Amino acid sequence: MRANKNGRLKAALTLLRIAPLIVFLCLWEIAARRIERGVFYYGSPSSVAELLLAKLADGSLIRHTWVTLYEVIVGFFFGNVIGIIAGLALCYRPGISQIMRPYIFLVGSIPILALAPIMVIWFGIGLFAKIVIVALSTVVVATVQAFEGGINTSPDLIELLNSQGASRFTTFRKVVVPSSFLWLFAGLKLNVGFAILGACVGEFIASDAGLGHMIFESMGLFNTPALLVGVVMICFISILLTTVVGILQRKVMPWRFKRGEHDFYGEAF
Amino acid sequence: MSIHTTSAACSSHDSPSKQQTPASPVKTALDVQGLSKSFNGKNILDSVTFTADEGEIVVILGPSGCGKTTLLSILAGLKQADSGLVRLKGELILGSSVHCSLMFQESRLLPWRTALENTLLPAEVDGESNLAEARSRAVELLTVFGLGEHLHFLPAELSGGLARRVAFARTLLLNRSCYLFDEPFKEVDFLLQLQLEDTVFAFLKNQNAVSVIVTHDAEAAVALADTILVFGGSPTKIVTRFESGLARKLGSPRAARKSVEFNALFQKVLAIYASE
Repeated sequence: MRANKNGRLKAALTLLRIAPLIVFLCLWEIAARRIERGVFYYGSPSSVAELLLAKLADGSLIRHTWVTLYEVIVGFFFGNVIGIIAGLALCYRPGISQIMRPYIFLVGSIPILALAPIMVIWFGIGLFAKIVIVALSTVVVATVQAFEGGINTSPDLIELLNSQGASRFTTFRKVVVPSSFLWLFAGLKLNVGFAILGACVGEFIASDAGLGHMIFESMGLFNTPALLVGVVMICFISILLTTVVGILQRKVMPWRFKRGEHDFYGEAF
Repeated sequence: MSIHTTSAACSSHDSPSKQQTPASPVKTALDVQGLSKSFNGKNILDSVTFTADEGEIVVILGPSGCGKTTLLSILAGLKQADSGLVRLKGELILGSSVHCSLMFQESRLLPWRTALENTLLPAEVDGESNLAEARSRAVELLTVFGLGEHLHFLPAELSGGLARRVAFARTLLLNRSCYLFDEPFKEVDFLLQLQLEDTVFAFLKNQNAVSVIVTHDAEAAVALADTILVFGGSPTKIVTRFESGLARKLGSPRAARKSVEFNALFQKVLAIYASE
């Protein structure tokens, strides 16, 4: 009885989630067809879907998506790993964090658009430059989040470890690092967006492949449906990565979820 | 066993058997001399002096906010006294020490660890090489405290009372020279308190360690203690000292609570405690 009710609730939720999308797509389709040159300027769901299938079939879409996905994943990985290590290290040595704080703030305040061109000069127009740009656009958020997470460890728990005669490193390992996970994953989720932004910026500036390249090229050709195909695939990458981060969080900190707590942003679905 | 305070007017007599036999196997284990501490210019503790023998259960009875927690923090080496010193088995306590096991007012469980893993924490911190043995000891302790079914529960899945019992098991996991309890029955319902008193007493009575229990509950003090130190005044000092030993004589705090002597002593303690 109860399971049945839950099932119905879930079905209703799915329906309510999909309904606005369907309404939007329908209105778009109708409007685009009615307006003169509507499909040309605004695209339409059917033209985008048609083109998407065609580009999938000829392999070009897969190639572009793969390039962007690769840049995003590798850059995301390095940016976050370096950031998390740096953030936790700063937390372990607060003295250094006092010195470094203005520099972190400075690097964080430079928009990636301003930094990307110099990366192209230094590292060329290949994949490596894009990976560096993606890493750069994620590293500061990861650093700050890991640092804040560590710093916000409950002083009660630190005192508990002190009372047990724990060394600084033991306290760090047993309490500070696990405490930082919540902040750290919040940072990872934000960084999915920043990573994709970095990849697009890199591809806009100079590239010969990738979804950003495809979008930029489509703009030049006034090919709205092709441009929108790129946007759809970027959404796909974003959902994919957010889901992966959500799954990772469930694996790393199952204690957060035992009581049916739901992390709104962590689970796209 | 002796006590030196300026206002020990109502003090019951020292037990002469212990004091006058230096050759006896019972030795002074905890020696607290003239501890004073102030915060922001306000005196919290004023020259607190007492000693406790091996195996003795000392209950410190005082109103909330009288500096009992501060005293325990100093004994555990978490805070420094402004003056005075603490010796544990003849050794000066300076800074965080592994001689003491302190149970805080709050359960303070690590949310990512199960009941069993939380209980094991002191062994891991201590660099215990034989974790398997510590583990079986932890399971045993948790079972004694009635958590046999909850070994793998996370703190978020435990009620306040169960979490408190995990904190007890964690505090008692390792053999220490000194066990310190800060309001161990705070926010525990009365029936559970009776049960916990018996369990903890059964554990502590067989130990060589000194136990210091801080509470504002005069009944628990009479039921558990060998010695009761009543704290009071501002700044806080030891006002009076009572010998109880009822639980030890009658076998358990619950038996002590049922005895006639319990009520008599409780009234005496209350008279002093309430006047402070």
